[in-house]
Amino acid sequence: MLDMKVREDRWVRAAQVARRSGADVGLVEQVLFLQTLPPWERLARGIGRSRLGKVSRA
Amino acid sequence: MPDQIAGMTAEEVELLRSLVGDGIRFMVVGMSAAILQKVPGVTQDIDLWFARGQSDELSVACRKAGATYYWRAVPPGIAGPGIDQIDVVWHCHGLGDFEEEYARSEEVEMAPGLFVRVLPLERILVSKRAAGRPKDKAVLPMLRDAIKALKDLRGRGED
Repeated sequence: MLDMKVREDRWVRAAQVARRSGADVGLVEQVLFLQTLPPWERLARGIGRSRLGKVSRA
Repeated sequence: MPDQIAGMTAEEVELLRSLVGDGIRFMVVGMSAAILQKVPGVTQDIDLWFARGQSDELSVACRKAGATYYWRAVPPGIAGPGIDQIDVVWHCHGLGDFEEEYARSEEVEMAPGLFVRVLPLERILVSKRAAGRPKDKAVLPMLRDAIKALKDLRGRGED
């Protein structure tokens, strides 16, 4: 349930950023998620996704 | 945390630590640099752009990490056990020379305790646009929107 709340809040925030910046809301949501990770985890996902397909996103 | 979790092998992390430790001047460019800066993209390799004139030092730093810098190939590269994602770059389309771009580079913690310079997103966008291959063109909208979003967040002190 906590996970759902985190996602919900992130989408609300993403919608606000998208409205202000003109960026795509789905892209903004991903940026906001990546913002919560250390850089090396972002890289791991970027490389992991290209090699292993989709990686689940909490 | 084991280095492998960083998306790189332990050998690749060791190589990067050796390069930084020996004061080799380089920066991460391309999609791996974009991903490190929060762009939700994908990549298969890590492109490192090196300043010219440091081949000897580069060879030594690679050897310390159990790798080899092979310079008599076009393009030159770095090879060794466990090292298969590192690509050597000497020029980036559409950008200035290394010194000019290095002066604008930003620092990112690429693995725990390992700080490297990365090409800023705005410059990655310029280089991708100039390179113009289908795979470069495909990431342009993503880079543009990520830049917009991060600019907005920074403007509000949220990044």
